[in-house]
Amino acid sequence: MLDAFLSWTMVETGIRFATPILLAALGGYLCQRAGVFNIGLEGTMLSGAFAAVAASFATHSWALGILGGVLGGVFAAAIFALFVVSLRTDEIVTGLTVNILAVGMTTYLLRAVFGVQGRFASDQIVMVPPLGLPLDWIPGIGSFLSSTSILVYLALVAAIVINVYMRYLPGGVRLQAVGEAPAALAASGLPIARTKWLAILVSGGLCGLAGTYLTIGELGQYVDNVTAGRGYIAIAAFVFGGRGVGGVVLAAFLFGLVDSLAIRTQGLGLPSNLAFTLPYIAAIAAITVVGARSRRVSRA
Amino acid sequence: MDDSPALRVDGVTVEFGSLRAVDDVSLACRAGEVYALVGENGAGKTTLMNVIAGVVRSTRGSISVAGRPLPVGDTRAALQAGVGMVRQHHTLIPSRTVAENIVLGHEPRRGIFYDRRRAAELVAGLSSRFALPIDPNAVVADLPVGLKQRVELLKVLSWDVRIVILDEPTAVLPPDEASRLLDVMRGLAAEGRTVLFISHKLKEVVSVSDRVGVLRAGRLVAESAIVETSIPELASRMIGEDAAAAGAFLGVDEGAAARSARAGAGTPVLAVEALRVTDADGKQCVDGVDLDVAAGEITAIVGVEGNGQAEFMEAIAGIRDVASGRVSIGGTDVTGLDVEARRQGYLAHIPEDRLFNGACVSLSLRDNLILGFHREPRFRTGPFFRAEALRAFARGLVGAFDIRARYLDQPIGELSGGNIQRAIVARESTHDVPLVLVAQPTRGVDIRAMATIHARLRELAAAGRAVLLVTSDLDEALALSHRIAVFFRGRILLGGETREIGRERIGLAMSGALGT
Amino acid sequence: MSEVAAGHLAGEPAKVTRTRSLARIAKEQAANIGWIAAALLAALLVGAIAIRIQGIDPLSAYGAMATRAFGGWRAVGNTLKAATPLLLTGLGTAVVFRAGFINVGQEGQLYIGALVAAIIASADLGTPGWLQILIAMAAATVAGAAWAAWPVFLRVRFNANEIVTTLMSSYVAILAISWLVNGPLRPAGVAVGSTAPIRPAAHLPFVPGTPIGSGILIAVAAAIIFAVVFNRTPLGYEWKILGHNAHTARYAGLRPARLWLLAALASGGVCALAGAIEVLGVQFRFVEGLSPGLAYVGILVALIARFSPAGIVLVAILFGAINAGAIGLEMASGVPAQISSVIQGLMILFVAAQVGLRSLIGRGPRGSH
Repeated sequence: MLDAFLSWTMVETGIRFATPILLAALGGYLCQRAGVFNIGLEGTMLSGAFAAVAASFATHSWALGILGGVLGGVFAAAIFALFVVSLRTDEIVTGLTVNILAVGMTTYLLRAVFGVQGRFASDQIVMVPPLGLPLDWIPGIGSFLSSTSILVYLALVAAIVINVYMRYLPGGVRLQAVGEAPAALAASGLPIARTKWLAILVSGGLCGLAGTYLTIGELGQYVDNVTAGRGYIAIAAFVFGGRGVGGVVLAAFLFGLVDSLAIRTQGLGLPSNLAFTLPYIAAIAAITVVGARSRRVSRA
Repeated sequence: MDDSPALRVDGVTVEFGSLRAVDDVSLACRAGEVYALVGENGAGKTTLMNVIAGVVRSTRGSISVAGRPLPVGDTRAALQAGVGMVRQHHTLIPSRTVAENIVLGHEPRRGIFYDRRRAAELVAGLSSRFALPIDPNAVVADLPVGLKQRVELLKVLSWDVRIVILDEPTAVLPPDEASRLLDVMRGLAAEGRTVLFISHKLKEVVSVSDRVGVLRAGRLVAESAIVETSIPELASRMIGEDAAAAGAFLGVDEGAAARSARAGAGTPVLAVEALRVTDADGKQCVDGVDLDVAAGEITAIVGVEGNGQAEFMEAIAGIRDVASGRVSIGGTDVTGLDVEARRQGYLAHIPEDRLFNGACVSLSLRDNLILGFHREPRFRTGPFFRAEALRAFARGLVGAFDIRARYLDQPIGELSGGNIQRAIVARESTHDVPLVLVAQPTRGVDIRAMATIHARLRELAAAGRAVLLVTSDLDEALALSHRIAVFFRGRILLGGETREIGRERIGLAMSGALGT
Repeated sequence: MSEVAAGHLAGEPAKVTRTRSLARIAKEQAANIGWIAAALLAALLVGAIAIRIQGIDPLSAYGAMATRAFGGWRAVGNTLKAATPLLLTGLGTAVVFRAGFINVGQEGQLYIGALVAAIIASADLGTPGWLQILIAMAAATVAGAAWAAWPVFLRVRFNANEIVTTLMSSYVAILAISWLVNGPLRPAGVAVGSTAPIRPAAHLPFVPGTPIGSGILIAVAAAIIFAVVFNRTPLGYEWKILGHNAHTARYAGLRPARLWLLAALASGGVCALAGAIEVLGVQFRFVEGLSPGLAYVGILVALIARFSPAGIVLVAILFGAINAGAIGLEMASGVPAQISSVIQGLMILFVAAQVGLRSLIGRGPRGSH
C-alpha cells in the first residue's frame, strides 16, 4: 500500500505535473518581486498553449512550436503590461480579464482556424522530444531522466538563471527594489515602468513555455481550457515559495506531487473528480499557511 | 575656474493642470554656500527642488550647473552632472544592506556580476571620508531613523555631487542629531559644495545658512543674506502678512497663554497602567507606561518617531493588541473592548496620516464627515438613511469648521491637506466622548488650518474633554499642552507640567541623554 | 499647494448646494455610459475585423446578431434568459468588491445553487409546484451563501488571500459536483453526468402571455434590493467605507469580519440563485458543464458597470443580447458563436483602458504631491 505512494513513478509524475506549475510560478514570482501581482498567469498559459499547437501544426517543427508558445504567452503578457503598467489599470481586474479573454479567444480561434470544437488533434502536430541525456544507468529514475521532455530541463534552467539573476546581478537587486521601494529606484534615476514591463514579458514567456509543455510536451493536442486552473495553482506556488527561487521550485514540486498523488488515489479507487480536487485544496491550505505566517510577522 | 555660479535656476515655472506650483523662479548659488529655502506648505519648495534634481519636469525655464545646462526631468542626468537630493521621505530598500542601497544605480561589477565586496569597500571609504560612520553591511530596516537619513545622504554623496539638496532633513531627528547634521552641512559647504536645503525651522535656517530665499505661492518673494534678515521678517514674508499677525499664527508666543495647572484634578478621564505593547517582531515597543489625562487637560506626548508613541496611541484606541496592563476611560476598564466598543461613548480619534487612516480620499466630503455618526437613530427612518438629515449634519460641520470645498459631494481627496484635516478634526471632535486622541494633527497643513485646529483642541479641553496629543513638533506640544511626557524606547523618560519642564531637558530626554 | 489652492478657491466660497451635486452625478453617469458605448463600439470593431478575416461581411453578420437578440418577443425572451445569470452573478460580484473582499468564486457558488435546486426540484416533496420552486430557490441560496462564507473565515482568521482561495474554491466545488452527478446522483441509464429531471410542476413559469421567463424579474428585483442596501442603508455605507479604505474603517471602529461575512453571504446567495434559475427555468435538470463560465462573465459585467446595480442590469442585458445574438450569427454566417466572449473580453479591456486613460489625462495638481 505504502509502496504505491512512494514509488519512483510517483516522483516522475510529480516532476511532470510540477513542470508547468514551476514555469508559470517563476513568471508570477518575477512579477511579484517587481511589485505586480499577476493573476493573469492562467490566461497567459492558455494563450501560449494554443499558440504552441498552432505553430507546431503549421510548421511541423517542435522548436518553432516552442517559439510560438513563448510568443503566445508574451503576447498575452504584453496586453497585461500595457494596461497595468502603462495605463495603470487595476492589476486584479486586468489579470482576471486576461484570463477570461484568453478562454474566449482560444475557443473562438479553435473554431475559426481549425474548425473544431473542444479539442484539436492532428498527426501534423510535432511534439517536443526528450532531451536524451545518457542517464539510463542511474537506478530508479534514470530512464525517466533520459526520456523526459526538453521542456522539463528548460524549466530547471529557467529557475537557475532567475536565481542567479536575482542574487548575483545588479538587475536582480533593482528588480526587487521596484516591488519593495520604487522610490529608491526613482531617486537613483532608474526606470520603474520599464523594469515592470520586462518582468511581465519574461513571465509571459515562461507561462508560454508552461502552456507549450501541456500541449506539445505532454498531450500532443489542444484541448479547450487545457490549463484547468494550473495558472492559479502557480500563484499559490510562488506565494507559498516565499522570497527565494528555491522555495518556488520546492512549492511547485510539492504541488506536482499532490497532482501525482491524485492520480494514484484514483488507482486506489477514489473517484477521479474527487481526487482532482486535491491540488486545489492543497493550494488553499498553502495560501492559508502563508497568510497565517505573514500575519505573525506583520500584524499591525 | 570660470565665474559662472555653481547652480543657476533660470525662470523656472511648473504647472500642474491649471495650478502654477512654481512661478518664474530664478536664483543662483555659489560653490561653498548653504542656501536655505523657506515657505509655507504648498509654497512650491519641494517642487522647485524636484525640478533641480530632475524629478519633476518644469513647464518653462532652465537649470544649469557650473555653466552647463541640465536636461529637463532626468534624475540620472542630474546625478551624473553632480546634483543630488536627500528627500523628505525615505527612498531606501528596507530589506537590503546599507552598501547595496548606497550604490544602487551605479553598482560595482565584476564581469556581469554584482561585486558586493567592492560595494562595501566603497561605502566604508565614503563613510570615513565624510565622517559619517555607518556599517556598510547592516540591513537598512534595522537602522534607527537618524542612521537611515545618514544612508540617504551617503547615497547622494556617492555620486560625487557638487550640489546637495536636502528637503527638511531635520524634521525627524532629535535635537542633538539635528545639530550634528547641520554641522555636516557646513562641512560639505566648506569643501566647496553647494548645499540647498528646505526647512520649516527658522531658527536652524538662521544658524546654518549663508543666504535664504522665501517662496510664497510659487514665487520667490524675497532673497537675502542671512545676516540681513530675522526670524520675524522671514515669517512675515512667508505668509505675506505683517509680522505681528505672523507671530500669532506661528505660535511664537509659545507658552504665553496662561495655563491653569491641572484643570480637572480629581479622577482622571484616561488612566493607563503598566501598559506593554509588543510589535510584530516581538519587540516591546511600549514598555510599561503609566499615564493619566484629566478632564479639561491636554497632555502631549513628544519624542523622536519610532519610540512607541504611535503604538501607544493605537493601543488606547483599541487598534493594537495589548500585551499587558490596563486602559481605563472614565473609570471603566476598556482594555478588553474592540475599537467599535471604545468609540461608543469612550473616545474619538484623529489618527496620524490622514489620507491613510483618517479619510477615504475617493469618497465625498459628506461620506467622510458622517463616518461614525451614520448609525445614529436621528439619521435613520427604520433601516433607511434620512439623506436630508445627513446632508444637513455634514453641511453644519462644513460651516462650523470653515472647510473649503466646492460642494458636499466633492471627493475629499480633491481638497487641500489643511481642509482634509479640518474635516477630520470636525468629525472627530464632534463625537460626544470624554477622551480625544490626536496624533500629528498639523503635519503638512498650512498655517491657517493649523490655527483652526489648535483653537479647536484648546476648545475641547476648555469644554472639559481630556485630550491626548502625540506630536513630533515640539513647538506645537509646548504651545498647546498642560502636561508633557517624553517617550524614549517605549518608556516615559520625562514627564510633568509643561510650564515647569524646560525645552532643553525635553530635548535631552528625546535623545535618551537624560536619566529619570 | 495650500496657499495656491486657497487662492484658487477664494472665488468660490463654501457653497454647498444640492443642484450642483445632482448636475455632477448626471454628468458622471452620462460620461460612464459614453465610455461604455465607446468601448462597445471599439470591441465590435475588432470583432468586425475578425469576422472580415473569415470572409464574411461584418455588417450583415452583426445584423443577424441583432435580429437574433431583439427581433421579436421570442428573441427578447432569449436575450433576457441569457442576461439573467449574468445579472445575478454581477450583483454577487458587486457586493463583495464594494466591500473590498475580492471574492472571485462566483462560478462555484452558481454550480452549488444549481445542484441544490435540481435535487430539491426533482424530488417528490408532496408540495404544490410554486412552493417547491420557492423551497428550491431558498435552499440553493442558503447553500451558496454557506459555501461563500469559509474564505471570509480563512481571510479574517489566517489572513489567507481571498483571491486565490475563492478561485480555488470554484474548482473544488465544480469537481466535487461533477463527481456527485457522475456517481451517486446520476439516474440510471443516462450517459452524461446529470441529476434526474426536475418535476414539470417545478418549472419556473413564463411571464403570463409572453415567452419571457420569470427569472429576469427575480434578477431585477434582486438588483433593486441591492441598490437600496448600497445607497440607503448604514450597511451599504459601511461596505463602501471598508472597500475604499480598510484603514479608515478600522480606525472608525467598523468590523471588517462582520461586513465581509455579510457581503460574502449575499454574494454566495445571489450567485447560487443564478444557478437555481438556470436549472428551474432553462435546463430543467442539472447537467455537467451547465455553465460555460457564466459567472466569470458576470464578474466582467459588474466591473464594466462599476458595481452599480442599475448599470449591472443594463450591461447584463447587453451581454445577454451579445450571447443570444452570437447563436444567430453562427447559424446565419458560420462565424463561431464564441466571438461573443471575445467581444465581451475586449469591452472590459477598453473600459479599463478608459479608466486608465482618464487618470492619465486628468493627472492634474494632485499628481504631484
